[in-house]
Amino acid sequence: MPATSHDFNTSVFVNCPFDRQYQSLFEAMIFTVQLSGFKPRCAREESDSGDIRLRKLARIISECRYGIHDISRVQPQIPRFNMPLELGMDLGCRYYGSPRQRRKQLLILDSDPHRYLRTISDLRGQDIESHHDDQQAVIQVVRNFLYTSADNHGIPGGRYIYRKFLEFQSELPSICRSSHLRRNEVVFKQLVVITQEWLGRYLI
Amino acid sequence: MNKTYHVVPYKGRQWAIKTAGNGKYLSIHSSKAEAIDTAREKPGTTIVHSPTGVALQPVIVEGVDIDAIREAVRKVGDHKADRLIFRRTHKPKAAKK
Repeated sequence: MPATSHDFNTSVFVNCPFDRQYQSLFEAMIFTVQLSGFKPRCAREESDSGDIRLRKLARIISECRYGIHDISRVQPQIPRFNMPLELGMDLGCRYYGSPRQRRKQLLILDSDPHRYLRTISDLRGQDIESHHDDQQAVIQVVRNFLYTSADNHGIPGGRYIYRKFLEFQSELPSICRSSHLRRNEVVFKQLVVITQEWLGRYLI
Repeated sequence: MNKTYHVVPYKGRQWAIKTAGNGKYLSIHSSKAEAIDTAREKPGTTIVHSPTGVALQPVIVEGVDIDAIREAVRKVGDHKADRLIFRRTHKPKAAKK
């Protein structure tokens, strides 16, 4: 079923590494997206092995007006090409897609400023934000992107969001314990629901 | 038709339940948790707002036991309240001179 206009305008596709080192940045990103009044979506939301992964990604990307792409995983040992591929698909929607797809807005992130010029120099001229692998910096850039793109003046400042995120992080282990889950067993779908419930109840 | 209820900040520290269509306030509550629980008793969708008015988008996820998660998140709040009461009632003893 195609996403409704409201769903499209409030959905954010998060394209980032899913490894353990990135987990804390990923959680900070998801928290900021939800606190700002948007729905995070990513490749991890479904595990239907009957669906071809690329087709699934294409569908999710087309259902999101906003995209956050982190291209920081370019270590020479085992470079990860999934993130640049998905960024390319999202950029393709903007250039060749329907009028709705052309309204897409993207945030491209890297860990260091200007490093992308050595890895994807074709992105020269785009505004790329850097996060220095720091949670507070990720929260600030994601918040600024959503505040500016969506023109939603109710979105609070980055420092406030970071403080709330730390509070959430400190309570997450006991939420997991009560849900009979280990902290490292929480999957994307559960994280989104836990974050939604926590924000709804304790953002006062 | 599926009705939508909004839990919104009301006059400073209070929270209200509002309908989506006519924007009428249905009830006023002293706490956000109470307003959420009351809104969820009604058949329909509940959209909770932040204190700054941002509508937190409801996420409907298949295969996740939302009731268990709600209960776990609620428990954290109970512990928070217990800690707060403990701190208010057990003042630290003054240091011996």
